[in-house]
Amino acid sequence: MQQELKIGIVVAVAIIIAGIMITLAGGRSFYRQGYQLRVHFDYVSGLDIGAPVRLAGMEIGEVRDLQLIGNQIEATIWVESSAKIHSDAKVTINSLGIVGEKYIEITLGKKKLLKNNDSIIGENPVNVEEVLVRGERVVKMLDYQVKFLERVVFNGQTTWEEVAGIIYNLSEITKDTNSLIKNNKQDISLSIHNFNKLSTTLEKTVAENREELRNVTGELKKATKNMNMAILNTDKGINKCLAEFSTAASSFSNVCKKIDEGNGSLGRIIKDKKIADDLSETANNLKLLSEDLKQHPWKIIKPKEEKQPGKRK
Amino acid sequence: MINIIDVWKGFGSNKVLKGVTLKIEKGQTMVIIGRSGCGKSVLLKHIIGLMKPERGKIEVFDNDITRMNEEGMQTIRKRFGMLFQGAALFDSLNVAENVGFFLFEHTSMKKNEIMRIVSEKLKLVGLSGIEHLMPSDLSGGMKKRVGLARAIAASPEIILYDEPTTGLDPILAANINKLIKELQAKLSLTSIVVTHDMTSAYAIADRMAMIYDGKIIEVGTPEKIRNTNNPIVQQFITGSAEGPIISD
Amino acid sequence: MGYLVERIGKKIIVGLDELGRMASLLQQIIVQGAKKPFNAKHFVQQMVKIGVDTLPIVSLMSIFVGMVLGYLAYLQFKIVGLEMYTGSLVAASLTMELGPVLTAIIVSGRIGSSTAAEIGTMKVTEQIDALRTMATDPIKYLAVPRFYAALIMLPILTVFADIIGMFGGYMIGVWKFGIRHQIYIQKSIDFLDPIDIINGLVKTIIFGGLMITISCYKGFTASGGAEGVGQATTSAVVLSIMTVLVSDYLLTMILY
Repeated sequence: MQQELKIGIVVAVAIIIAGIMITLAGGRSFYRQGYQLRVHFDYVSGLDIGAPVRLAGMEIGEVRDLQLIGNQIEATIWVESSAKIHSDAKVTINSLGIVGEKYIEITLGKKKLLKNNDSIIGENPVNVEEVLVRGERVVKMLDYQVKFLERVVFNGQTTWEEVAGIIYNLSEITKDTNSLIKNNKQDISLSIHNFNKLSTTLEKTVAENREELRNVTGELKKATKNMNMAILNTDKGINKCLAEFSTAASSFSNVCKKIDEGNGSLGRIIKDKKIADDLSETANNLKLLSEDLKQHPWKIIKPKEEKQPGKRK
Repeated sequence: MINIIDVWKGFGSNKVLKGVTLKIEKGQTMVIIGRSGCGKSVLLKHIIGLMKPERGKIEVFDNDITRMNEEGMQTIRKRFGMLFQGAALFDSLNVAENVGFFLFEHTSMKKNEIMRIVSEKLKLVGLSGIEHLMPSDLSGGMKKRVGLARAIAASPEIILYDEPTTGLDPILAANINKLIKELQAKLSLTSIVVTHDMTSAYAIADRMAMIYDGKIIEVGTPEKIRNTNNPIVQQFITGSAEGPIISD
Repeated sequence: MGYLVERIGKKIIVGLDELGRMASLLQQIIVQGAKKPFNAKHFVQQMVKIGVDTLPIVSLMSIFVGMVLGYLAYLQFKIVGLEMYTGSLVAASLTMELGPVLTAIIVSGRIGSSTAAEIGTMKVTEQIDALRTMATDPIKYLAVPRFYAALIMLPILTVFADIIGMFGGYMIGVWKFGIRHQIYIQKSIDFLDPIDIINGLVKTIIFGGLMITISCYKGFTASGGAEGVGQATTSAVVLSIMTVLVSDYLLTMILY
């Protein structure tokens, strides 16, 4: 073979390979067309320059710059021109897996399209620490209330005022919980709402007549189911709370058993069979749920696998 | 034509040339004799500008080459041919490319024209039909003759021979001597030959010069040298172990 | 003590002197290289020698380096459950560092030694002088074609080293450890940066120039027959490899 031909082949192949490598490299969109958007956050939770930007879960760009402007942080993001971002899209900062790489998630929208250099307000990411602290507080209060209830049932020295107090406290707890997760998925707030409504009704009912107590427990049952669904969809930060929640639930279940057996004055008050059954089932549901979660915590992380958690036994 | 005036050269503390003065006329064959390592080859390399003297000057074609830069030297060197002691053929080139090297590099002649000159020059040194061989295929004598062919390929005005007959058998040496003489006659070249082979020296020389201790101690026709009174020259040309030159 | 200081001082002076001579050789190569006519025939010969003839050994080296890298990276990443990043590590380390440097080292060994030996032999057998008597500049005739051939062929060889090394990593990652093909490729591509690839190639151009300058210098300054040529060859290879490594450090500082 001629020398020149050999060189020609080697050089040509190398140039082709280099060309392919350089063009493919990076997904960093070196040559791709795109535009920039400015996103304003109050809190960026350790987001880095170069972090990926996803539109409805698909990677479409990256964070180009982060700057402190006034008391806000402006993140300049670059997105491919094929990615259409609407003005009503929600922009949040999420983290990826255990390693915790932060990325920006943008949801699809409907309203007018954003153009180059437009700005959009980003939603503040949930402060995981805060969630944990508040969640723990809620569980502790619940636990305390259940224990108090147990004591009341054992001693048989219940006054209606005390019961009302418990229920008032329960309502406070739910309010607290409500505020804690108000930024989260809708079904949780729905369940909280139900729970709230339930407590209010319970308060009224116990004070007036026992007939309505039946409805109340029915609702309580429904609420736990909702709660079940809600918790499954909540952030993993609540994971720790759940462990304690489980203890609380089993205590509650204990109480309910005692009520069922007709011990104590409150037990006698609500010896109506239907109400007792409902209450018991509710407690069991709660217990099952928490045990299940304890054993399979991934269900919190991957809620999609459990489409209808309410149906589980 | 070539005028060497008071040239000094040393390598470190070893002074090789200590004020050499020599004049070489056009068309003449000058043979420089001397002991091995006395600086004959060094003097030759000064003439073609491969080395620069520490002191003194060398005039070639009326130019002071000690003051010339490499580029200026190259134009002067185009009028020179040189035969090296070990022939110094280029290992990576075949005989034809070696002989025609100058023509390939510095002229715009066509390849077949160069090849014609190459074979003509090879014929002149008695080596026809070896154009395609590589230097490693040649014997010592053949290499020398190819080297000679290369030296004359570009029709130079001056040829420098560095030990042209060293390492050759007497018959081959006689052939080379004859060749040098013939070239001299045919092309009317100016030749400078460095040798310690006295047979060769007498055979080709118009004039002779002897270097001893870094200086030219005797210059003259072969007759004059043969009949010199200088004991050093006497000892050298007769090749005797006894005399003023102490062997070390 | 005084003797020691004197010796060290002399060594430093000799070293600086050599450095200066090499720099001036490099300068002359560049000056002569810019002048016409350009010796295309020699240039082609050297390109074949540096590029085509060295390609098999570079390929062999890089496929094994890629395989070893893939193997070790997989084992380490597996501990933290990130084995899909094996390809990323292989690709990034090959393009940024190992491809350029190992190619330069192999070329230093192969071409540096042969250059120093060839030119050194020419020097001690007076072929260099012969060139000069025929009005041919040895630097232009011998060093310039080698220099340009090295400048062009080193990045070319590095491209092959990169891609073949990545294939070596792929063989281990995908065929041996069973990482999914698409994931391996995707992760490799994700971590490749065009700038890194280009920087790696730029580095090799500089390595090639330095390596060939040193080898030519050692050849041109060889003296003392076959033994001298041997010494020149050895020191050319050693010095070239050292220079590649040191300049790699400096270039990495500058480029990244």
